Amino acid sequence: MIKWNRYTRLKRVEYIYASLLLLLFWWGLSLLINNTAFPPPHHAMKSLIEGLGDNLLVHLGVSLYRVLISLFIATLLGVSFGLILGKNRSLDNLVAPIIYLTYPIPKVVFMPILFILLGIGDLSKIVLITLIVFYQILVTTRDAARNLEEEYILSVKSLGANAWELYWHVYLPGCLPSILTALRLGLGTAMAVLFLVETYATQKGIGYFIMESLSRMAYDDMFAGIIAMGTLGFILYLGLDLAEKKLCRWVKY
Amino acid sequence: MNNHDFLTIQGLEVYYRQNKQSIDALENTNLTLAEGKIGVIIGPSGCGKSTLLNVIAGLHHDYQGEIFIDNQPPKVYSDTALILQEYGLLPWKTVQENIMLGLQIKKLPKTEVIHRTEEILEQMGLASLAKRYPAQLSGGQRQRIAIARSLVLKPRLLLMDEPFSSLDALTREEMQEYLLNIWRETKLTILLITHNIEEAVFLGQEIFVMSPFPGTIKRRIPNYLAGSYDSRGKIEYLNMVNDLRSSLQGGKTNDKME
Repeated sequence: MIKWNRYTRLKRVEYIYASLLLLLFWWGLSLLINNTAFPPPHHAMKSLIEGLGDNLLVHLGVSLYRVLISLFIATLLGVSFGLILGKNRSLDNLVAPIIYLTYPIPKVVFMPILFILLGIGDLSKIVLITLIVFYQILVTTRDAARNLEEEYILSVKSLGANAWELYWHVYLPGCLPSILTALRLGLGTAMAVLFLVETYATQKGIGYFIMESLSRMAYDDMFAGIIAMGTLGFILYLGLDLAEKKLCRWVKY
Repeated sequence: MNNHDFLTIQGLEVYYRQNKQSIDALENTNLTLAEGKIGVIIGPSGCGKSTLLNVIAGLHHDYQGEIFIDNQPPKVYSDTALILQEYGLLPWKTVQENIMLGLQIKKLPKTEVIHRTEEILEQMGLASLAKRYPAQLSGGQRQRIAIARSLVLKPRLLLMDEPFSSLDALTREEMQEYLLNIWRETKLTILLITHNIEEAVFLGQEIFVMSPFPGTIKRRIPNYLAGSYDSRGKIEYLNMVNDLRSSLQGGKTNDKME
């Protein structure tokens, strides 16, 4: 398992200092490039504040809904199947070749067919994001469950635990750190796919807002959208940090 | 078969399937242990000691022959507690939660679960560790918690798989005496695996010597020196240790050793 904590869990001062440094870099770059397509940060900020008063929040809300539903379904399915496969070797032997063959396929290529089959509404978008994140969580969870110490399983079995109790007391908590790591990686992927699906056949969502600003050559708005999307991802990321802090207190020992 | 025997094993055979080959883990293994006795199984690694313990604990159902604990097969008998080599404490549960787990699985009412957990922590002087995670404890403390987790279930048979092997020499002796104290108070039937000859002689009222390929019990030695602190270092004790050592090395005579 990758140790994320050191890189992600920052102190408040560190957040402020890193944000300021990034803004300074952006500002310097905008002076250097000197092109209306790359406005300085304060122009984007001004546009962002105006946009929040207007309809930017609606776009953000729609995007948040799409990404949260997708992450939720993907986690629910990925964790359940992952734990079941990790626990049952013979079942895993049957399913593993299928996962192995389909895992490397970039699932975004299914976007056109999903649009055709499921329509251009939210459903096709959510299914695509879910599908991609599901694979990441499934494989990570299964591998974590497979590699769980036999000793934990035997000792709880010897207390008379049934299958359900083994999942609840041993497999799920034992795999949780890996699951949260997979969710972090999955969140990054989900945001990228979200942008992609929102640039097609929709009038709502932050991805649409960015591309629509581009077509109007409203670059300040476009960057406001980029900031908004970045912030959305960041807040979700913080949520995962918080979840890890609450649920995996034992890991730090 | 003696009617007073609490644990009886007769003609036990266990096979493992590996790469389509059937491997003989235990063959024609016989063992009896009276209620309230401490039995010690000793043998080289790979002789099937852990397999034997897992079968008695009811974790491994695929065996031939007879095993009875208080006249019930392991699958049915529920008053067995098992302590594994690395203690088997769950790192994601606190000491308190680890101890509660067995009671929760037995579906006891919540108030009783809490009451019995607090009681055992208090009795064993572990109350101050209740909120800690296993990784925050020393090896000796973890072993005590593992024992507490077993005792809270009020078992009649306690199985231990090399319980003290990863402890340093001093803690190991301390824990051996700790276990004896618990045995004196509870009169539990204990069956313990070790690869340490001195430990076998100090703890085992009955010593079972195992040999590998395939694993079987080849000798049973009643040991009257068990549990007496003064006997450590006496001639009789050293003779017993030597006898056991030669038995483990395939019955070579004493004068050829060391």
